[in-house]
Amino acid sequence: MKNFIIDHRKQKKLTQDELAKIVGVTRQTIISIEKGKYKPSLPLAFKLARALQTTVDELFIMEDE
Amino acid sequence: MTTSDKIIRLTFWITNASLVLMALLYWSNFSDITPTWLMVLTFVILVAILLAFSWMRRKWGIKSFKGIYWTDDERDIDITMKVHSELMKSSLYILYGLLFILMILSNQNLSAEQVSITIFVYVWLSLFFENVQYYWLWNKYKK
Repeated sequence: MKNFIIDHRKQKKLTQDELAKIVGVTRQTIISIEKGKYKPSLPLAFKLARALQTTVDELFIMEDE
Repeated sequence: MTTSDKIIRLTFWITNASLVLMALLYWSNFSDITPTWLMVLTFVILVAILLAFSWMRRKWGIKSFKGIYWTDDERDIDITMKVHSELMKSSLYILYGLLFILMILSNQNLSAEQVSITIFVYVWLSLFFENVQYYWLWNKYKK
């Protein structure tokens, strides 16, 4: 699974720490998600999408798509 | 370093210290002069460790998930579940090992004291191994 969190986060001028605080996780979790090492749960994916004012579809795509 | 990292490190060292103290207590049973001071000291240190741990938990606001501590967020829960799964496997192997050792010991005509020492050493080493494994796996999955 690929994600575009970095791009959306930078567009919104948010730091990893700020985004982490908004969605209620640690900065390490945001780093892991951005690097593609950790796949977030559906509720967290929705929280991220809401925080970055986008949709889950825009943030995450399956590699074979 | 997240709160969960801190508590994992603290737990690792507290468990190590507790294991050393337990080994000292056990050893004191076999010494000719019963070192009462050692038993008192060990008891005081164990109580101090438990109190310090409880205070740290409140100070760091450690969350828990289904009775498992040090989970700051869902990724920590995920890591904890993976670590616990590995530890359950290890525990099963350790139990099989204990069965095997008991089978061997039962044919050796050993005294109760010798059997007790062997089992103590085996359990002590198992607990030490699992403690190291927990710390190592947590750091491995956290990366």
